[in-house]
Amino acid sequence: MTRDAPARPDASAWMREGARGRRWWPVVAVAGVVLVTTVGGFVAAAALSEPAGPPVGVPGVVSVQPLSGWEPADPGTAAGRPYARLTRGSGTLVVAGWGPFEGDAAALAAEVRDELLGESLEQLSVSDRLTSVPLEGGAVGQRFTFVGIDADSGGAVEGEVTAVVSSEGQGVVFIGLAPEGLLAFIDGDLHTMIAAAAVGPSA
Amino acid sequence: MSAFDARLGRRLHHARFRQPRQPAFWLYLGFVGLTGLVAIAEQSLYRSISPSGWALSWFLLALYGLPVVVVVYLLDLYEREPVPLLVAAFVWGAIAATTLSAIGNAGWGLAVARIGGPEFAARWTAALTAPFVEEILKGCGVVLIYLIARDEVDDVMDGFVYGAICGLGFAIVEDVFYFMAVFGGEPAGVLQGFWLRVVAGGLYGHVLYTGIVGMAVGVVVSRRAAEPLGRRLAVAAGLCVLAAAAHFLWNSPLLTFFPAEPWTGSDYLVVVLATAVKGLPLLVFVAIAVTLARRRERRWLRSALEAEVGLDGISAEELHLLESPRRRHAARRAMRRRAGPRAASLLHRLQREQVNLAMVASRVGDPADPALVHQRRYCRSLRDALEAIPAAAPAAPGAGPGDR
Repeated sequence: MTRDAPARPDASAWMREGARGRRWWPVVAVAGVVLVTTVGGFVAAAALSEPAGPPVGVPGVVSVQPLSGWEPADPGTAAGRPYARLTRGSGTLVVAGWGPFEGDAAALAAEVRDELLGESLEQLSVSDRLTSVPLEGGAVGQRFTFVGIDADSGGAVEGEVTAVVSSEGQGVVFIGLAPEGLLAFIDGDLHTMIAAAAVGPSA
Repeated sequence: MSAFDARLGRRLHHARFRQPRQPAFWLYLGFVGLTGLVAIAEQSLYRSISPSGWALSWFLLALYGLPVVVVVYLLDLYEREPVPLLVAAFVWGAIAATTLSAIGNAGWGLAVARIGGPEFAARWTAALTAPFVEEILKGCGVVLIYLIARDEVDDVMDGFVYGAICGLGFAIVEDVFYFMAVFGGEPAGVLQGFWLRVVAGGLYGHVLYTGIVGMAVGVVVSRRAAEPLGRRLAVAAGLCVLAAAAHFLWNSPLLTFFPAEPWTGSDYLVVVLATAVKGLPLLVFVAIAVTLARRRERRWLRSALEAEVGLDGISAEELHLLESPRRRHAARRAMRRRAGPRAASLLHRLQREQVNLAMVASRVGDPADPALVHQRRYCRSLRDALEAIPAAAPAAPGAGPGDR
């Protein structure tokens, strides 16, 4: 034989016998607090990610809509390949047109690793696997991360490359770059901007 | 009805964790079940990365955790908390709170980076996210324990015990993560991480933070008759802010005096001093708060039992013994020497039920309340059984001078 402890004389009404239905609201409140605490940051971050300024990119090949806080930097050309840049603090997103490319996105990613990163970074180390990245326009890119030492500045950098081949056979490369330890603080923005990028003649 | 039957016949507390009629029980199980899958996968990954480092991590953390459990458990002078509920608090901290915090910290870290940019985020994200995310999620575990077994959290000290155990569970699993993912996972890295996070900083972290949050829960759910809700909420809010502020200071770049890595020789002593700068003030505060809470418990015990002295439940000598854990323990040792282990065990039960007598007396207003009368009789039956044991009777209620 067992029975519950007698109701405490100082207990509030909802705790006493006869108020069993009200046992639910504290539990619902706890569940709500856990939910808001756990996922609320993602909602807040998404709400704070507002487009700002005109799109930048390589006309007819790729364009990216900057998020608030990102500023366009001087565009340029490297090895005959045009690129545009966005920066936020020490974080950078390079958007480059790679030109006509016959292979798939994975082959383009390997070419970027060997031709671009391999020549500009010392002690280069890249992730073992490629990650598929769907873009909102329908194209699918391949992504890998890397760390290395910048040959010019001597500073350690980390970044990620997303390679895309458009349906017209144009190679597009997104390179997110930051000093070592800082990539994690811009990769949310990078992924948002890359996912929404326009690839192809309409860009 | 025998004493044993009487004990079974009236349960003073929800000592069991399994309470299927409580919605909080199912919410607890749901969160722990879901996050448990993630936690198991995470530990499997660590083990695959470095089996020796992973095993060493758990071994070292067991060496740290077991004494902490014992100390925290024994802090509660009169009403030790049921072990199943303490295990539940530990599991919540170790599994649910750590896993949910990892998600929450990542999300709020994105928000901080969005607002402040990468450089600001690199310096301040840990301070601006973890203290709030982690203290809230660990605190939710203490609240769930309270909702599962409301009668067990009836004092500030109870809240501290559940909170500290929950914080310990969190600290241990977080330390394993740091040893494996930040300090490299190999035995040398694990030892360095153990020095920094446990030897140098083990007294200051989650055990204290969540202990304070647990105190806040204890303040709100107890003292109902003595203090209005607004005042209790204000005190609880102050305690929660203190816990979050201490956690903020620990994670922030403020007051950071750690030597540059790699550490050699005396650097390891500097690390101990550097952690003390950040953590010692809170440890002192908690020590004072716990001391005050224990004194308050002692005063509560005396006031609850003064009117009972001379009735069936307790004598003046027994109350004198009961007020001091040291005297109680000494009396049991003396009883064991004089009349054997069975008599000592019976005296232990009598003392425990006299503490329960105090709880019943403080909860019912009427001295003739059936529950109170029943508890007095139960104590008397235990005393009768004790005095029936040869050699136990002469000194059963009190103790000799050497035992005081």
